Amino acid sequence: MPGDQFIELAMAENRHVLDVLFRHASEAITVQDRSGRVIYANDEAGRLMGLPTGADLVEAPTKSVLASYELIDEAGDPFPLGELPGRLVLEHGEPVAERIIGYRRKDSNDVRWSRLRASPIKDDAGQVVWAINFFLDITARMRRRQIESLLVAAQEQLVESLEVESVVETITRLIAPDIANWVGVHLLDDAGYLRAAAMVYPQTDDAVDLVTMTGQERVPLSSDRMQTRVFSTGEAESVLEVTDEALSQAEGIFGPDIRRVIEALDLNSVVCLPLRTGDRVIGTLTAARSGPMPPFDAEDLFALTALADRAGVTLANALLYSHEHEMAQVVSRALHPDEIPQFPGVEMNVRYLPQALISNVGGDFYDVIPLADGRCAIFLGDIEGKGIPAAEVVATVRQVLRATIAIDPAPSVVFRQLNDALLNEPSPRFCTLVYAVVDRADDKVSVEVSLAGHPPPVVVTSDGVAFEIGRASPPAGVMEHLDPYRDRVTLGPGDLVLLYTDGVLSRRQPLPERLSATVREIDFESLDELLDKVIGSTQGGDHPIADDVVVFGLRVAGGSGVDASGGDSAAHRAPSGRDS
Amino acid sequence: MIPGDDLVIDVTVSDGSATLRAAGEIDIGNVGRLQSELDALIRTVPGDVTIDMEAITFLDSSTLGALIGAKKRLQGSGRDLLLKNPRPMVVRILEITGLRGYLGVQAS
Repeated sequence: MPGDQFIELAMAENRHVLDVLFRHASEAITVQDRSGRVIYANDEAGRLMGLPTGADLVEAPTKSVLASYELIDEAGDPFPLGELPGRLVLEHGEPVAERIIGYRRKDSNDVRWSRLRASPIKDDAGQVVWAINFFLDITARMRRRQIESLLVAAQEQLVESLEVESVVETITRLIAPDIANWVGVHLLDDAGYLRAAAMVYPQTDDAVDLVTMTGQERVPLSSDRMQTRVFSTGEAESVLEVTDEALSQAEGIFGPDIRRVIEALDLNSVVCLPLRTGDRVIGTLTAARSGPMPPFDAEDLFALTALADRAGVTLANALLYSHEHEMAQVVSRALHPDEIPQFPGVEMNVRYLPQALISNVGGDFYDVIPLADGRCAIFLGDIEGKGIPAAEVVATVRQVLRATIAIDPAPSVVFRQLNDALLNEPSPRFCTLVYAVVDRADDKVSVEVSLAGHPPPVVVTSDGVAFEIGRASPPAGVMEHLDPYRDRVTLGPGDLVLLYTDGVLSRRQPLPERLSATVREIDFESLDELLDKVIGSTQGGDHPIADDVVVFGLRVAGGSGVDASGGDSAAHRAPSGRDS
Repeated sequence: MIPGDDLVIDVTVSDGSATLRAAGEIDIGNVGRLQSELDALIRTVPGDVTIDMEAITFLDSSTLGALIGAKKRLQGSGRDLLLKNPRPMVVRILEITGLRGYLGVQAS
């Protein structure tokens, strides 16, 4: 008998013996010969590798089987082939402690987990002839463990998300691509539509088609869609297998194209869950699998439901936060001009830091109003108190001031109207105000300043001298009558004036002198740079800002702070007295 | 220590008038305590309320609001709020805000 045939026969005999031994074992078992080749596999082992029988695994070339899998360890890193228990047994002839190995299908990312151990079979001479591998399928246990850690991660990461976008991003990142390769988050918008906040899908042209067809546009709640049904009923829906019946139903809703697209995409399992907080549904979470991914099983559905529950609460909070934030911004915009009007020959700009992060509505306000006679009025003030109640009064004050100034910009009139308006408020608040009227003749610019309870503006000349302008009178809304002083300063090219609210002043030096000193220390080329540095000087330091900060600057064009040094500064003061 | 957290308020009442001594910095973070002390005195004491400002190192606009409110309520019932012994820093704040005359500050 030729040697080859003998070996073949012996092998067949061996396989038969092995089959009798291992056929009915509940574990997957393979046997390798000294060369590492698989000479026997029971049917369990075949199934573990996605093949119908053990014989298919033996006959398939090892490379082709392994080529479609990736071996990973518990951490998800590649498992070194040299450390496979079978290899070690063949090498050293000793039994090897069990290892946990994941077989990840490269096409679907589906992972089967095994506890793998190996034992040697030796001949009479004590030489290892076979390695027997025992695989215990622990996929279900590993999945539960993964889901648990996924939910822990979700809990931790969702807690950190304050904004809607980041919550949505976190949810989709936790789900795709491991749990599902399609994820959609739909949220109810202000207009009553379900709007896609996120769509994640495999990058193919067909996928783009389907997303365009089903997800990107806003969905009226009246339409009959999986998402709208789930939104209205609060009950999850799932299509765990895409059947002909399901496709026909989809065709009825989306038209004939949907069948072509779904079939092309090979969508095989879809689940849609409500995103809710308490009894209130705020949107839906849709997840789907396509291609070689297996349909969702009970554990997948458990994980997705748990994620949707956690995400719903977090999203509801984030939506509330964003709503408040938006409200505050709308109110804040209403209290400050969008743009500062141009005034020829004078550069004007402003920096505004609202006090609170969440309700960025403070009591500070300012505006610039061009006058009919070519002059320009600026007001800047601070209402006692913060938040929405103060903002309401700010809105009133700003209206009163704008209306009055348009008719008669004289300080006595403006301050009287403001005082009366505040005293007539149902819950009186006081208000500080600096009011400046800017006039221009030839290359000289004059600024007339009136104050009510407000720190005086600081004038900085082109040669770096800083001084205050304006005399104090009480805030508006305190006394029956308010009669402000008027003080005038004439500015030359490069001279500037800073108007500010008291948030600018640091705790330890709450005096305008301090701002003058600060300005003297600051090097600046432009008005913008000076404003940035003054605002910057209020940050950090010995005390966090507890108040709003507004710094408004105006600078006469021409000249330059540096080059004009030594020149004769034109700025000088002239009290104009009371103007009643 | 958190700034503004070290405000100490001490009240004495005699002959139907009250004197409130406050020590430290008063700002929006702790002005509520001053406010409620003043409210209680206005409700319970028949006469004037005096604030001894000797140990007040700083006050902000919300504090001025509390003082103005207290003065208005007292004047509304024929009484008054008196401020005495302010430090130069506090005097300067009252001057800048134009309230020195209105709040009736008595020199130390």
